[in-house]
Amino acid sequence: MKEPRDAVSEDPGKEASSGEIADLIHKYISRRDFLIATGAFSLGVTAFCIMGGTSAAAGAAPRKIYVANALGMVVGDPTLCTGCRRCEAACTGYHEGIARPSISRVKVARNVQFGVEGVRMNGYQTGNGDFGNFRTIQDTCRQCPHPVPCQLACPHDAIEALAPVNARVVDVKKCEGCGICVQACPWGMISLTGPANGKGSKATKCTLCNGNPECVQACPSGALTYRKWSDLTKTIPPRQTVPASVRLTAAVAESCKECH
Amino acid sequence: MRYGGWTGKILRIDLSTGAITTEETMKYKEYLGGTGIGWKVLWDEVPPGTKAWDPENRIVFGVGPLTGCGAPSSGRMVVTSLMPVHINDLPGAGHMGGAWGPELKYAGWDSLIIQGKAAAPVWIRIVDDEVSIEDASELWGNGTYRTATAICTEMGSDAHVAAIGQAGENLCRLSCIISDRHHSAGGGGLGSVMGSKNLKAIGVKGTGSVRIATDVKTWKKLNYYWLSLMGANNNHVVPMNKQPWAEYYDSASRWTADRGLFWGAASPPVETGYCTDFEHPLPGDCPRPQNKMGRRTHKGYKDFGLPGANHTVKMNGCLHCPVRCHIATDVPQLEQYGVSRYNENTCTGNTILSSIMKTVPGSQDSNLINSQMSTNLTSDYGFWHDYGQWAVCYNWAQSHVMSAAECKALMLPASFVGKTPFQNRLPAAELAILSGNPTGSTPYAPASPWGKANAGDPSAQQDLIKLIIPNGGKIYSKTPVFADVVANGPAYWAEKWPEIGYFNNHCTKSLSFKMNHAKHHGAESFGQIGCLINMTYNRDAMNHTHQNVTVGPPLAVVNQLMKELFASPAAPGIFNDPNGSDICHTSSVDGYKPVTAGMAAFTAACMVELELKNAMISCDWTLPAWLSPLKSRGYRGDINMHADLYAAVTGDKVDLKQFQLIGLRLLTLFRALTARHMDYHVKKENPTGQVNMRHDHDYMNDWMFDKVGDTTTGPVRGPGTGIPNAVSGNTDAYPAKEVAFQGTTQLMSREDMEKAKELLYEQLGWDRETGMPTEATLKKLGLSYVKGKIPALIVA
Ligand code: SF4
Ligand code: SF4
Ligand code: SF4
Ligand code: SF4
Ligand code: SF4
Repeated sequence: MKEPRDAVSEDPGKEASSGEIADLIHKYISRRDFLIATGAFSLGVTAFCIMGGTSAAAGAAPRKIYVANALGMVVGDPTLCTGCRRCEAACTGYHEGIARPSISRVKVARNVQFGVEGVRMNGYQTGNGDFGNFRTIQDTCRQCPHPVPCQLACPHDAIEALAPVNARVVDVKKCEGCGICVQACPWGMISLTGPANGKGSKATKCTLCNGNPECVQACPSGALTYRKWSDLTKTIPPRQTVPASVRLTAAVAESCKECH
Repeated sequence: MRYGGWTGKILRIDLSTGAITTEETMKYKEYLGGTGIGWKVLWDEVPPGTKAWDPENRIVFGVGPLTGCGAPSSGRMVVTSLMPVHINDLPGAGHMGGAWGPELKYAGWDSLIIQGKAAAPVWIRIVDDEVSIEDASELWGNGTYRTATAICTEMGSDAHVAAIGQAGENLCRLSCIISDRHHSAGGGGLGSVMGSKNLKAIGVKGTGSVRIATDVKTWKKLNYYWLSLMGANNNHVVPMNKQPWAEYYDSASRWTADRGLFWGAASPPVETGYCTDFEHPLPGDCPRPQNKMGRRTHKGYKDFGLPGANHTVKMNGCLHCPVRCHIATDVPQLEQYGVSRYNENTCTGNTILSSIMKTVPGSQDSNLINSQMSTNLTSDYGFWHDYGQWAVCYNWAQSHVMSAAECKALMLPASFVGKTPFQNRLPAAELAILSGNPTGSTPYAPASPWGKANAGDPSAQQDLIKLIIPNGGKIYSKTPVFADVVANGPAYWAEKWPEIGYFNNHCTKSLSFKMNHAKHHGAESFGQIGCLINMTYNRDAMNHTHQNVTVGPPLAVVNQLMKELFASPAAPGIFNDPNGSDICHTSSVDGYKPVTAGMAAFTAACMVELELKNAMISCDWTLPAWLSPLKSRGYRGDINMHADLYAAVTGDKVDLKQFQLIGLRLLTLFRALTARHMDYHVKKENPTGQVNMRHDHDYMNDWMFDKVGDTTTGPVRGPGTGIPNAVSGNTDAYPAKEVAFQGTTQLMSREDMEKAKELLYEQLGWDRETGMPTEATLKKLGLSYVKGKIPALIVA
């Protein structure tokens, strides 16, 4: 099966004005199904309901949610990927000093056998992955532009854009390990280090290694590159539907209303 | 102290009782993991005389402290058990790549020991510490592809499944265990050991971790240092073709990457390219050019030339390995036969059934298409290749016309003269099915399996595998006599048809080293060194340590580097010839050279290194790091690499000598285990007899020694039968394509090999007369308990 390499937008990642953000959000809303829970704000697939307030939301102090775009991102090229998962080994090996694919911030393991589509009895021989056509898709964090789904969903304001490259990063001191961000990321790029709400459980996501990604250096096939940020959130299909139970907190909703 | 690397727990499942228990890994610490734990479990729990298919036999799915740690080449695992292909069910192991082993570690287990026999087909489900035995009645009868897929639909796309196909289910002795679609643990018929236990598959999913004892900075540095010393597959450290950046090249190298050489079926095609500026390390000692290592080994090109390169989607391989030695292919032509166009394997794994086919003359792709059909079928059915020896026997049985002298010597009926073994032995009805005529004579009917095979038609393989596999009595075979010999491997075949044993032992086309099993990098790999290594194991020698050094810089350079390590007063390890004798030479360059103490020291180090690789577990096709591609180091590798990795991951600080002693412990336990099982069978025949490992185990087939017209040996093993060797058809007694030695002789010498054994035993601390570890050696290695079970075999 011949497929083109993934198209990657080369747009420079300049900061967006609030008008552009509103446009962006509306574009998202028009593009994707998302969930509007009656009487509450809720997260869509990659978008947020910005209309209407609720008594729960009213009166809460707004939380600063707007973040500048990331400056870089890690992008995978499936054509070059050999499925070795050295990137995953580097990601946890050179940070936590352990090998633990389940919390790697670059995710290949889940696609390596049956592709992003996942396992199914019929068609595995023609799908992606080692049981199919050998195409291995590396999932990397999109470093989403505002509105950043994981950041907005966090009820504890634990995800922030961190200098020098504005990666969206979990502040482990604030993180309570509730796992809401795991569900809120449309691409399933966040992992918990333990059970949800478990003692010591923390969320973990790609930090871009402060602009010097270990995974990129470790890849023996040049299948990962670190490049200037561009918005891939519109071109890469989401991996999961964000459940209706994931809602914006009142503080976030108040903040949204300031601009929209 | 709390070690890194190990999870601390071993899982044990008794399929007879359904009991699922755990035990402490640390009680096996001195055996590290992998085959180390496997040998110990077999020693402690499986009495001699046990057959591979008895419920009392154990099958140990072994991983080691390095498994899954993220270091290069730490993704493999081993399965240890008694081997059904062996007449006396001797112990052995099969080695499996992919990601199954690491997943077991991430689930929290340092090995899985299985015993007993389930009453009905089952599969084992392991999700971290949740372990259950599940009904497999729906899965039974399926190939490994559907089995693994079905289990993943229950466990998730990221579960890894080790399964048997129809071959293992039906107790074909040539059967293997398959994981991740195309990684196999062959190892002498391990698939049928699972089959005998009614165990269809083991699905594993783990969310845990492997802890690394050393600090993050040191760990990263060590990884990049190790990477900088790595070459291509088999640690070939120079490229295959002359390249501007390289001082040396070697046409045998698997470092095939080159300008203009592509993964041709990638989309778009991917150039493998040069390695310019190879010497200059990045911060962190990363090999240059950064991120090209995974393209160095273009095995599609190595194994199949340009057609192979054109059909290669990418190179694939085991978890965390940057080398990538498995060829992922796209062969659209296969779709017309109803099988997937996408297949993967490497080396002999690709050619099991295609070796019994003829290729279509003039068709460049024919060889490749047939090989990928073979891979597709044998991975799905779980059929083991016996390292090619099986196919060689098959081809001989199909094509060799028995002479009068052979029939007389073998005491076969005169009616056998002028016909092939298949024609002589198979019933007319079976010959009619196979060849289209009841005599099995050529020309075969074009639509018959043999007719199609001779025409290079890949569908012949689909016909044949259905005739070969159904052999265990569960499925009806249309050709039961054919299936009975062909599916059970050359040793059982030779028991039933003496001419097969004669062929294996004597004939030039034989690939059998001894005991009817295959040779695996024997005399052609450093002469006596390859022979000693092939003598030691109970199956084809899965030891590439020496082989990996045969390719690289010019031999004189390699010889000098190996002398530094194994033949010098300053040698760093425990194996050494301080007098500095030569080690490495190939016959085709130098002619025959008598064995030296340096060769024996090198051989001992190779054997011990293999035990360590299989216990850690590290890939046999990447270590030892005794050479490197770095001209600035004079192509030296780092003999401490493996021990340093062990120390960094576990925190158990050992130096090279201590580390080699651990390896020697494992090798010596394996030796004692083999002797104990062999001694049982000797005593069964002759209650006052006793095994002599030097003579009964460490021998090699006559075809590697005998000259034309040699009358000292004959078709029946042993000297003095008086039958001229010429009856075997030998003209040079060694296949021309694998010439052992040029010059005065192309043969090995019996006297010299006897001396070689003695020199080797001396290095290992084994008795020169019996080839058994001495009491002092056992004591030194912490194996004194061994003597309790085999007192008569141990000398002081
Ligand atoms: S974790 Fe998900 S939601 Fe958050 S920035 Fe990355 S891709 Fe976007
Ligand atoms: S797991 Fe942590 S980062 Fe994620 S939503 Fe909960 S508190 Fe926020
Ligand atoms: S950039 Fe760093 S944190 Fe992100 S996936 Fe790569 S190694 Fe992990
Ligand atoms: S390290 Fe590179 S080749 Fe290996 S899985 Fe990751 S992206 Fe693919
Ligand atoms: S070299 Fe080949 S067999 Fe060895 S670990 Fe790498 S991919 Fe696996």
